[in-house]
Amino acid sequence: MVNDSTIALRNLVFNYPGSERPVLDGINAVIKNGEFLAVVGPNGSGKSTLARLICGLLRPSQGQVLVEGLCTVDPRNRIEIRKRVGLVLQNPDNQIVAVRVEEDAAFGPENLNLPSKEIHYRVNHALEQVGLIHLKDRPPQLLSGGEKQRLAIAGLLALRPSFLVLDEPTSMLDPLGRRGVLDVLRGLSGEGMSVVLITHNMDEATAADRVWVLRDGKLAADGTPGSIFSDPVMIRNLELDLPWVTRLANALAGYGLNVPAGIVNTDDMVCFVCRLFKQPS
Amino acid sequence: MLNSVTMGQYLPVNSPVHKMDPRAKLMVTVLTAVTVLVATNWMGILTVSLWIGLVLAATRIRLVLYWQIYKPLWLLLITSFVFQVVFTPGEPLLLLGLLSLSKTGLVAGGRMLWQMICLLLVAAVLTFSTTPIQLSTALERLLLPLGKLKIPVREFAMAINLALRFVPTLFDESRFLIAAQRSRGADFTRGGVRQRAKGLIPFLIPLLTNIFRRADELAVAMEIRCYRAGAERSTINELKFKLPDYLAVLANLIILIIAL
Ligand SMILES: Nc1ncnc2c1ncn2[C@@H]1O[C@H](COP(=O)(O)OP(=O)(O)O)[C@@H](O)[C@H]1O
Ligand SMILES: [Mg+2]
Repeated sequence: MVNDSTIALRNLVFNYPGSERPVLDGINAVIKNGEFLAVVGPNGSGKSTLARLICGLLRPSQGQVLVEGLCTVDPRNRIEIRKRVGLVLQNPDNQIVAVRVEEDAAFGPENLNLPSKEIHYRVNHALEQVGLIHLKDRPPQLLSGGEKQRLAIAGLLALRPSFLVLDEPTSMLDPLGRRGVLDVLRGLSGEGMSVVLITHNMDEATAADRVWVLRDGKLAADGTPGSIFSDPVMIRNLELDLPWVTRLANALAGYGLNVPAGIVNTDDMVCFVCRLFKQPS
Repeated sequence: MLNSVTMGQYLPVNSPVHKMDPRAKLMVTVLTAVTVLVATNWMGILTVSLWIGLVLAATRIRLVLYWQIYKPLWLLLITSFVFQVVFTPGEPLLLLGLLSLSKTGLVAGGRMLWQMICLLLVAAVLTFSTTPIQLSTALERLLLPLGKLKIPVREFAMAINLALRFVPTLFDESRFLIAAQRSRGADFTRGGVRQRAKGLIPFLIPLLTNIFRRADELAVAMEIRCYRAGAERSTINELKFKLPDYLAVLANLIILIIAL
């Protein structure tokens, strides 16, 4: 058994009791420590199921999930796995247990029976990380959807996890809330947190270091956003939407410009366009 | 700031009552309620009324917000008052057709009305000034000796917390669903009992499915944050009895003795 700092999926098969077809069918992959992974795939492709398997909320039908070497099936590992992997759900309203922001963020450490001083320290730090420290006495009902999701993230950060899994955290948010959540995730990733972002939105996926495409229970593609979105065959076979930057790149290429392959994020595109205008023509 | 409240909602205000130990608040609530129920002499009724007034003022919450909890209940209050007055036997003061009003009836009705108003106010002070988590922690700590009798105190306390946390959400949701059904032409006010009950089905079914979905996600969110039913939990703000807490409980004991 490897005692490393990754999440390893070994020949992972899962079917819900009573259904014939497995939702996930033989997945082998490793989520490395510190990486920002985006998981995309059509509705019903098993993304939420995968998230729950990674957190140990569901047990694999076959194969194994190892979180830093701990097998999720063993009930003795349960609390240790909870401390290492956090999960944010889609609906911002159903994850809040308290009526004050600070109390809600404290729920996790309170469950670990930590001393009050330590809880204060962790909660303040977590609320700072998500930019909600100035709202710590507010009732969460009065927060916006994006702020609620950031609060859910803070509640998990207070448990000091190594991995943060988010199941379509932005799909119920307005563009502003979406941006706030993504900025927080980028910041956390920059500080070395491992982030697994399940998403429908390809523009969000381009923010990641690595993208998984789930389809028909298999891991249909695994690579950098640049390599996946710039491969027209892959895009067509997997019926993926394109991030808008890629669409722009394709349109520019249509006008005969020599756009380098693999431009998927805004920064690269801005660089490219700037260079274009500087060129003496 | 919140402009409308429902029963059981916490209002964040910086007041001496908010700062009290939730265990003391729970004790004072119970003591005041008992005093209100047993007070028969005028002296007792007067002191406990003054005491409740003092506590209300100390919460620094606008009186309008207290008034709002009576809005859905005034019909109930008036009806019980009338029944009490009419059905208490006694020397008639005034005859209105078949009904007779007696002095004992009026006194009994008035006393009951006063009791209900006081009890609602006391409950409102507790929930307005104490977050459900504080309340459930206090309940847990006060009742923990019962755990030795295999009574699941911690689970009970957490259930109370979640119930209080979701009361306002469910109120909002039902208001939303009623509006949604009305906009589709549903009418909850016409027809016989049967027809009205039938009209409620398209409202109750989505409400129930929503509640179950919420409960399911909430359970996941709690489990993922290391919640284990019945396990010992600490709290971010350690409970501590301070001077005002002792004084409040003591004052309330004295008032109870006066009222007896
Ligand atoms: N609790 C469940 N019981 C049975 N089948 C389920 C359950 N949850 C999801 N499924 C099925 O598993 C498949 C994958 O679902 P899910 O993981 O939610 O996909 P995604 O999140 O990618 O949309 C779907 O076909 C869905 O119908
Ligand atoms: Mg899903």
